[in-house]
Amino acid sequence: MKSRTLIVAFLISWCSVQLAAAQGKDMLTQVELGMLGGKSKILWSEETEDRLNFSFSAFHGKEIKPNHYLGIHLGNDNYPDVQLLPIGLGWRGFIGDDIGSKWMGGANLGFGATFLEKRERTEWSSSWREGGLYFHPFLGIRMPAKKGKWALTSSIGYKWQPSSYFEGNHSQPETRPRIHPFWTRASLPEGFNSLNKVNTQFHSISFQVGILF
Amino acid sequence: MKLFHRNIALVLLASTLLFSCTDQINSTYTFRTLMPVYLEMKDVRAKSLVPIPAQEIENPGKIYIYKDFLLINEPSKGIHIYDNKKPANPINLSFIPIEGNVDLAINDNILYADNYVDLLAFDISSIQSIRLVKRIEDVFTHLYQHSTGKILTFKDTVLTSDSPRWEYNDMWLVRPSMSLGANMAKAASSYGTGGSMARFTLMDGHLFAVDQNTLRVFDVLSPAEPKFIKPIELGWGIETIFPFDQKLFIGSNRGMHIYDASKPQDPKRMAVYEHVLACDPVVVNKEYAFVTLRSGNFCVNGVNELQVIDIRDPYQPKLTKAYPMLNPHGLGLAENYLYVAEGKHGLKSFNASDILTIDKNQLEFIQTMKSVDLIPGPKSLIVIGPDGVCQYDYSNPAKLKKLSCIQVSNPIEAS
Repeated sequence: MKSRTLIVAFLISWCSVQLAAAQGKDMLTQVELGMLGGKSKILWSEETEDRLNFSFSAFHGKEIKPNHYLGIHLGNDNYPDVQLLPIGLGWRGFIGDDIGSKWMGGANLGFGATFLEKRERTEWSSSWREGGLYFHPFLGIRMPAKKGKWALTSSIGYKWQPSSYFEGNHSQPETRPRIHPFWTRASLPEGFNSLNKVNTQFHSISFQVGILF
Repeated sequence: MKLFHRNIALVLLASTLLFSCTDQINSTYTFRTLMPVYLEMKDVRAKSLVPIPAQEIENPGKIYIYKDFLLINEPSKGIHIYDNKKPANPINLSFIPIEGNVDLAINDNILYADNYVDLLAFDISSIQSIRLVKRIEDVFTHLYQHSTGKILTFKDTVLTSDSPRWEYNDMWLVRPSMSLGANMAKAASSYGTGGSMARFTLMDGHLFAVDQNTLRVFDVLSPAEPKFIKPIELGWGIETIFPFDQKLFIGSNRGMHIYDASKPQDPKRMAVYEHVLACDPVVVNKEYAFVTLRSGNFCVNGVNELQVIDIRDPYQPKLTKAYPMLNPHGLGLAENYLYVAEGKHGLKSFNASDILTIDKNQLEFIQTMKSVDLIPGPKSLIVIGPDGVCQYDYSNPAKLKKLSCIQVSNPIEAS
């Protein structure tokens, strides 16, 4: 997972730098890395354990009005047992003097995808992971560099990200009628006799530092 | 200095908050099972058994051909009647709603059908005015629960609970593959008189019906006045019955029973040919029985083969040869040609004139025709598959020609 994370981070950074180099005055690029912290809960138990997960993201936005930027957000979040790639929309806003540091606010909204997770399949069963919608508001500061148009950023926020793990047993080799989903309140994917879904809603405090072009 | 203080403040704030949020985790387990359903027979008997206009087939069960009619059972719901004068264009005529019906047989314009614990006799001499002429109550008593006096049936359903366990709302559920209901449904996926997976069959003025462990004999010499004669215990795991030459060949998941039915009112056991635990429909000719063994359901041994059993001495049946198959279900014999439904793998035809080289005489293997059972009928080879009930011109067994397919709205899963 580490090597995949590094590859994803490198690709996003490289693309961001390319975009930043070509961008106009009304464009903004931000690359951030940091941590997502929270407490993991153990299923069927009240026990929890601290988790600290690596997070990397990039934002490319266009100024929609002074000090407000809207754009796309890409990233990589390594949660326990699952690597999610957030893809969504982002907003960045700044308050403060043009000279010196500014307060920064922002939010990202999108979908945490599981492109990099493998689906395991045997003759008898299958298991896979799915991501979900995420929401990530944050507050921070923007500290301009002494030279050039880039700045350092630092932020703290809250991130909500659900993710599910599925494990199902395939239909046994027999001949049985399919059950129409209309007949019952529940339904199973075709080809499965049972399916166990463990849904985790990650509630994290984010702490990130980054650079902004 | 100011900036430094700001950063320190942020780090302290982050450290304090970092582990303050707790994840939420929950689990749901969705599973297929058979829900027990208890019924009062008086309520079942009060329902109308009058044919209604043609209905779309949701899930085909047993098929049966009689004269120019094709009858298709809808397990636990009733019987569809098709005009099959032209196998290339069967016409859906009507539907007889019969709760709990899984088997049927027709004798001299009288249709016999089970209605949970009762046997019904319908006069079908005029297909436009089918009418119930006789009900014999309480013959298939294995469906009764002695503790409640009600019928226990199972409804195939999907449930969701918060954990993987076999208990739901204080009820113990049945694992579908191990249940009576599944076997009834499986038995329903079969064909009629002379068929390899039938549970009702007619011979010499008698109707023979098997359930999981009992053979029941009915006198139908007067077709509209069936009389229950007696039950004969066979042992557990009975699946199919095939009549031939005054004998009954009864397939169970442990072997094949052969009964002498020269006195049809009192069949006598001749032999039991035992094999490994497997599902085994049977068809026979004068010298050999052809038995398909497959894995699935109770039959979990992973055996998938066609066995040819020498029955020239019916008191001492002997295995002549076994051929590996993919997942054989029903089978049919027409003269020297053998047709095998290979589940999701397709449909095979063989020249079986030399029983020692059947595997070398495979004539056709239609992999696109997923099939679970078949009848070599007088006009066409009728095949049930997940996509519906299809008919083939089998005048050339090496080149089966599809004539028609009756599509179903809720196809069965072929393994």
